[in-house]
Amino acid sequence: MLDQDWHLPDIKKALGLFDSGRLDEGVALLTAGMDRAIKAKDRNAALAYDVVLALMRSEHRPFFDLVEQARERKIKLDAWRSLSARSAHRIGNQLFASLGALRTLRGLDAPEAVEAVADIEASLERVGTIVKEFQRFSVNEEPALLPTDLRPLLGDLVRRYQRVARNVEVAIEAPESLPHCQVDRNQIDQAFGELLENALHHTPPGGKVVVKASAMDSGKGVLVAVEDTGPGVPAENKERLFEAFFSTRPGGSGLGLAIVRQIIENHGGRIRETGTPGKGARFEVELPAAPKQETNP
Amino acid sequence: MKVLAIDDQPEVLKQIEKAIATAEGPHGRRYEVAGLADHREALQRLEAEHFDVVIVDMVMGHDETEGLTVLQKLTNKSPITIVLTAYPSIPNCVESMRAGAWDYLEKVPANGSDPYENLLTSLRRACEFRIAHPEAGRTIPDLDWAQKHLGELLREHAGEVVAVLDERVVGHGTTYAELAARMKDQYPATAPTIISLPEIDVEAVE
Repeated sequence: MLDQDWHLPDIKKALGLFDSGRLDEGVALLTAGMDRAIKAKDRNAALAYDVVLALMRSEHRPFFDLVEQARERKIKLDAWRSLSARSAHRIGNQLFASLGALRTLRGLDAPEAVEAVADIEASLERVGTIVKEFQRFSVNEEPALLPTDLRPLLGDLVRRYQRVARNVEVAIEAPESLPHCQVDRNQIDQAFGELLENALHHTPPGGKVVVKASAMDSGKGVLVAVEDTGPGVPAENKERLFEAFFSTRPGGSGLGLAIVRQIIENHGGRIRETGTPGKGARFEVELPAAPKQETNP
Repeated sequence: MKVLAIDDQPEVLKQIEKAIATAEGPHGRRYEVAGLADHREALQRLEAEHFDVVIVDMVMGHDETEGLTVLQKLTNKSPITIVLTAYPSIPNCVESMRAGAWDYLEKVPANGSDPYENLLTSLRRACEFRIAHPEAGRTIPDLDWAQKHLGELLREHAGEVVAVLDERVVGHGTTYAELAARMKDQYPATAPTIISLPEIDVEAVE
């Protein structure tokens, strides 16, 4: 049993947090208290939390709007994730069965059969890639964070794409030193790989893809922009671009940019598209700096 | 060698049975394979009849852990058990290995390798082990060691196939068949235990 008025000190503390500008902590305290009150079937306490939350909502509307948007996006994302997991499983089973049947066909040696089998194999391989992306999207991997210098990581990535790019220049611009960021190397490599792949896909021959890294003001993090000279992103698509299944490039699953955003946001970072439609796309990624004392020498 | 395959998807079961029935087993022997779609029926059949190896799907019906139920009901006297799943995750792999699975295979391998080749290689090795150690049950020292060190193995080798011998990793690679062949060359007398590790979902290791 909880004491009567157990909630009052809690609410007082939350109001203090709001007054000192720590809005997110205040909201967290109040919503946790509300849950506790509902669980304990304490109507007075629940009502008190509700009233205070309503009051704070009217006082700090822009902040609550952001909280609400993030919550909605998370609900949507969770729904997509669970759909992806189920799809990956069901498609995966059928893919496995098709590959099995194909093993029998491989024994045929009529030239038409050989070509048809090769075509089916190539298609199934693409299906496999999509299933794996669904799997990857469906699990929300917590990044294993380590203080990392992004320069060599991005440098390696750019070199990798320089080798595969045809008639498109791939370059990197980065200052001698950057603040270290707290990142999961594999995930960040995957995210920027996807952005580079995307940029290369949309850049016509003779064009250019540039990765530009710079320190953000007051050392709070690193800004990495991936720019291309493709057609760019129409203004009306700039926000929806990162939604699952919004845009699909041939052979892709429609999850690429959604996975990129998921990774960046799991790192406490942000991603936006800020290019000029008609002139090229520019994806801006902000990653927070690692705490100073943990930075590698 | 007698093999029981359990998978609730008839089209999947058919292909597993067919692949195994047409494959050559160890020492030129053939496999005799039975397939069942229902895991309860499979458990009954296992009590009544001897099998050397069981291949079990993880997600059957709506229950994501039905395959695990089968694994946990098996005892040390039970056949060697290979998990084959279209829904791989590291937590599930960890649970399966701790429950005594011989191997954890993906129907859509993260590394793009051929799932049937992986399955047949793993099956053949399981049978070779069974022939060489008819009394060993399901407790295999190197596998036991791997199960206890799964966290470390996954951190180092997620998405890879690793070979374990005398309580250490003696090789790793991307495909089961390639690593098995390499290990056979390097260790002709004693076959290292080979396990494949899923790539995704790293957060839940211990």
